[in-house]
Amino acid sequence: MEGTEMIDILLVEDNPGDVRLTQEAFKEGRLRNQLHVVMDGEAAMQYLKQQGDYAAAPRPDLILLDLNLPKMNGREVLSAIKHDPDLKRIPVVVLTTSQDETDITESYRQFASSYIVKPVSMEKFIGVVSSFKEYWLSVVKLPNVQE
Amino acid sequence: MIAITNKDLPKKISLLVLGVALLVLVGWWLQLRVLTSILPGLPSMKANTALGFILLGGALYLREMRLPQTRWWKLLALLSLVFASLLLSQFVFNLNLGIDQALFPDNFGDVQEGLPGRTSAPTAVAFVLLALAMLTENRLKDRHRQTMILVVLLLGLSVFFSYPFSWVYGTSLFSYTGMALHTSVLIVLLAAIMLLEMKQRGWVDLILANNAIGQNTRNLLAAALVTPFLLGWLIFWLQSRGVLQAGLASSSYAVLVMLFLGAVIVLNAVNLQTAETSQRLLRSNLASTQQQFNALVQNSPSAIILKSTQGQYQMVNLPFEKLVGLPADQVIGRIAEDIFSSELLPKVLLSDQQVLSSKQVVSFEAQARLEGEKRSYLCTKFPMFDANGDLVSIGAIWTDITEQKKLAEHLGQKNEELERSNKELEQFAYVASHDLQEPLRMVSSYMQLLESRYRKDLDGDALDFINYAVDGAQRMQRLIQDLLSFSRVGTQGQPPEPVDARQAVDDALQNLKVRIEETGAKITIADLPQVVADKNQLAQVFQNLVANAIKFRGEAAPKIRISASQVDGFAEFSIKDNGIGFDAKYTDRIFVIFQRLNSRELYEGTGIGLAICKKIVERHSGRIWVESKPGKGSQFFFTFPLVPELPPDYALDAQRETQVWQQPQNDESAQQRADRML
Repeated sequence: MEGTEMIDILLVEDNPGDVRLTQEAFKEGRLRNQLHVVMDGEAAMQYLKQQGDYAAAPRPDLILLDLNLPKMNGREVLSAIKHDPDLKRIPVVVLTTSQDETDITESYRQFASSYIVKPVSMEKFIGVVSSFKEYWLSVVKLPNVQE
Repeated sequence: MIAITNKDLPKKISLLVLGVALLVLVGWWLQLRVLTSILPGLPSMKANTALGFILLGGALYLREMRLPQTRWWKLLALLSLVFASLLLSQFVFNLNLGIDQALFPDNFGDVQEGLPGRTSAPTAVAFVLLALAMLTENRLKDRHRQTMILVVLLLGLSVFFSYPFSWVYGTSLFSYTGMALHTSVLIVLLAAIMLLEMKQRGWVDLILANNAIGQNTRNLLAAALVTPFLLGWLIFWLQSRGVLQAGLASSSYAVLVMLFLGAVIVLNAVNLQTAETSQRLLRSNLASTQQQFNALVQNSPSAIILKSTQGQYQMVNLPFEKLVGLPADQVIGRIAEDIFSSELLPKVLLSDQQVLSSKQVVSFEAQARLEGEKRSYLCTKFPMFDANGDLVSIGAIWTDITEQKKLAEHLGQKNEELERSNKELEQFAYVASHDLQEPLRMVSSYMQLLESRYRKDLDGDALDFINYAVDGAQRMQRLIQDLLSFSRVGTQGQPPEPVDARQAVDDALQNLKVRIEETGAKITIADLPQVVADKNQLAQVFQNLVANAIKFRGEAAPKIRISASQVDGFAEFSIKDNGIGFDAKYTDRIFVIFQRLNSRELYEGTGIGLAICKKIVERHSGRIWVESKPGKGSQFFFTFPLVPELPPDYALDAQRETQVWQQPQNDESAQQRADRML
């Protein structure tokens, strides 16, 4: 099932290999999207608040957030988003290698919409991307961020 | 020392004196001779004598009442002195004051007495002396008053003892004294009670002392009083019967007195000897006790002191001298203020005060410099009581606890270090789970991407290489995850609690359901006890061991038997299989992490399962071991602590073995965990 609209996704990820891999996975999963990438937590917040270089950046429909980030880590970014009345409705999917249970419970406690452990194999990763494509872009009606 | 144990004795005696005197007066009034003379022919107690007793007895009684005003008894005593002096003056100055029959006429007339109704001279003397002794209390020395009373006592006794003689010889013998029998008894009683009552009793105390001296003095006094009297009376009686001539009577009396008194004195000497021996023994015991006490105190590594309730040091030992830096002779007799530094002094004084007020043991810790080195002390102070339970001194023991303190501090540091290193290990586990896996994902993901995108451009070798690279990365990831599981046994375990081992086995088998079905494994389970365990971890042990038994199966379908016995408060579980077994020389190696006995091609797995089992079992204070022979199967044993209060008959009975295990529901996550573990 393909979405007819182009959706904006913000990927907060410091590892270029992972960025590329995510892009490839979206490509393989045939998801029409605009993937915006920032490499650290502070940049993510600037992007979301349309500050500095990101003054013209579109509001993302979905945020993919790595937990392990330089400067401001993913947990802090998640907390900052969920405490910001403007931003808190944007769904955040935590996308990480960590299987640590405290990370998982803490993320959900901070209102992460979903928690996905990055799989080792590419096939599984593509599977994950297409599964949340189906879940997030079809089943769940995303809140209208313009509201 | 015999005190007057009966405090009312003087009162009782004075009442007795008053009662007898009143009865005698009644006797005179009613002319009853039995009251005045007791027996016909004996001298009578004169009415004035009875009056004298009433005055003296009354004075004594009033004195014993211990009224705030002393003048009443003093007035009575003075009256009795005046009255007795009047009675006596008639003899001294050969007067007749006409008072002899003032109360009642004395017309019994059957005793040959000088003057009818006149109180006898010895009685008058006794009255004067007794009244004087009473009045001179606190004025004359007790020694002198004692002499006066002793004269009275001897007077009374001599008259009392003369009665048996006069009975033998005839009453006329005593017409010169004329003191009645009951008069003599009352006088003796009054004199005796006044002697006993005196504050400074002098030789009276010697006689009454509750020791060898008192005992011997009493024996000798009794012998000296009784022997001549009885022998004298006997000889006198024989002589009066004409059995003995006067000369022979006297000499036999002398010989008999010598013999008896001599015997008594020798017997006494034997007594004294015994007393002396036991005294000597006591002294030597005391000396050796003192020596033992000194040796204990002086050789104690702790500083020990005794001080008076006023705070003066009575005894100190060498360590205390070192502690305060002063020799004993500069400490004994001094007080804490002279000895302790201002730093220690407040604690010392406060604890003394606490011991004195609470009469209980008090402890405190203090720091002091010993030979320039700062040391810690634990001071225990305690009250010491005498036989009456009165607090007489304070003891203190200063124990050097510097080493203990250092050790405790050292232990605390080590503990901190351990906690830190534990934290670091946990951190490592997190790093392992996250950071180490990132590059692996990169390798395997891009390899896979390479393979899928460029398959048509690659030859067979290239594809093989890619597969090896992907396989290696995936194995590496599994190793990391296993390592993580291993490290989490300690950090994420739950506190042990009573668990039904059977429940844990069922959980484990449920997770292995698919593999059990696929291999047709037959599992029998005996009765299993309750143990104290983290239930998930116990299940993990069963699961790993059963999974191993299935994995290393032989040609035949796996047969696995789970049982348990009880040994020394532990449940000893056994898991026996009919698998391939292994050489006994590897028994230790197989519990080491990532150690494998079989090739990866034949049997999958990283070699983490048994290492985790070992770690879990050891976390529960248990042991794990294995018995095996190649081709004969393996039997794993491990122990978990039993639930303490279990009834002893929870013994495991092989006969009650039951065929097991029914189809459980599918549990996906547990199943996955089981897969990963192997």
